Amino acid sequence: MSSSVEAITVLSSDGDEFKITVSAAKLSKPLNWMLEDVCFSDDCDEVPTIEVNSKTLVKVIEYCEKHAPRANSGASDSDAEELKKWDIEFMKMDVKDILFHILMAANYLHMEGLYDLACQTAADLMKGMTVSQIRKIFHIKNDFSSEEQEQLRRQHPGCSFD
Amino acid sequence: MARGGERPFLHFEIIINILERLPVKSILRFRSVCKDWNNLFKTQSFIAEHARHSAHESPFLPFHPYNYSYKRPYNRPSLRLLNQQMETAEVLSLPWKLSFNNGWRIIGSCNGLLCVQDFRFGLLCLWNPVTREVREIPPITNNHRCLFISGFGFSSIVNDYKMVAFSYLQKNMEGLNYDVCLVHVYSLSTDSWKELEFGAVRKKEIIKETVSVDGTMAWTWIGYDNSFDVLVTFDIVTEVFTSTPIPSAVRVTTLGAYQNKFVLSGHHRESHFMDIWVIEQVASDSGKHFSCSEKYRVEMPWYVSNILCIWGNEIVCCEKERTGLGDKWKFHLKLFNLTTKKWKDFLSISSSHECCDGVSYGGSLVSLFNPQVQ
Repeated sequence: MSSSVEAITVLSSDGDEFKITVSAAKLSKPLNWMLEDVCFSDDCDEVPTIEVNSKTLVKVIEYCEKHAPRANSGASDSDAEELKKWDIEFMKMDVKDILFHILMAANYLHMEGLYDLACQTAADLMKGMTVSQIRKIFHIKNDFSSEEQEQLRRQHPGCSFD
Repeated sequence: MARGGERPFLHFEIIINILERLPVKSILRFRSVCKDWNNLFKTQSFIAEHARHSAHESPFLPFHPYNYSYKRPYNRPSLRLLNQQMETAEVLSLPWKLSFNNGWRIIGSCNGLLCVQDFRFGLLCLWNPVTREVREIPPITNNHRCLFISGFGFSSIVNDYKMVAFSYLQKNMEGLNYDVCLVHVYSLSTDSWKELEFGAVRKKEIIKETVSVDGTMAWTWIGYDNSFDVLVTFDIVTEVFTSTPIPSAVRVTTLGAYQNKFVLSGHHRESHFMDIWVIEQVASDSGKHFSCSEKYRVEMPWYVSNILCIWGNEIVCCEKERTGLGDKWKFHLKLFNLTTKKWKDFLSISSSHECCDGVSYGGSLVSLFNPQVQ
């Protein structure tokens, strides 16, 4: 990779172009591998595709740019505190809308910090839900037979299937 | 990867990673979602990962009515869990199997399991308050001495929970001979007791407190006849006792665990300071030993008289206030935060009927009948 490169261009799965700084791209192992690849040398104009849709990629890049300075240089406690607050604001999103996409993107891009954050956010949103709300969100069918439901109710009084 | 705006189906692996971060209560509710989830929640790997995530959460401080039953014999004993926001997070009634109407105590707490003992009959049980599982521990056979169960701990190396029981000789009706005459250890994996060698604890005096971290149980032993207080530790894997002297200038009042290390705290004699030591485990040629590594000196508010226990990042102290004639007392709890080094008012308890056994508790899914945590 040429040392003069400060930002790289990638394509989303929808075909849109995105710029991401080199230091931010380092938060993801696969992106880091791409950096070391010939694709970004000056005499190459092939733009790599990231298998993440545009709407999600915007958020992922936003996260990377915010976290890159700290990840690359370390930071004081007050910075960490500020970043924590930023994470909470950043994660205020609808599960149905984008959180699951972020989870999959973070998993695919090997971004541990974002993956942890997204898992915890999903768990916090789910914890108060009813069983049927959970089934709806995860596209799960109730596969207990009526005998099995009865058995589970006997074992755990108060157990609800709705 | 899914494309477009429609909500994707998540891989089961990702769903598992989300579920591991849920509170125990939600997990128990979600076992009726589908068979896959119900089965998942019973697997050792899920229970262990879940425990690892909830280890970062602040533990509860359990309180229970003390010897309540003489007045209300049919009142089922209960356990009150306080959270760090000074609220009662939950009041749990003890399962009927634990109908400890004559008073009881919590001997130890680890991985969401409580080791509890009935005062009157000495019945010993393990209890997971969240899953409501109870397991009775068999009595030690052929033991005619006075028994004092005094330690409960877990080791992730051998994946086993153990209890230690010290027996004393009863010399006459008036009292005990404080010399330990027998030591037994119970292992949950074999569900049996066995007698142990106890070199380091022979001729030691009254056991004051017990606490455990992963792999080690510890007690403070109060010396008499001018002998010094010592910290006695028990290696859960090798089943060997070690004894470490405690600096003599301080009267130790509390032994606790903080960030998986033992912590001693105590009043400095004749002053209003509290000293805090962090006990570090050191490996040496002759095996493991312990030493006091860090020390803080903290000025205590003049009215605080008693150090109760260490709870997460806080040292719980207690201030006693007489509220009327006779035996009417009010207790005010104060917290000292080990990270911020600041005092905070916590809670007032109106009578002496509530009792705190000085343990911290965090809920888990750990099963008493298949208890390995890896």
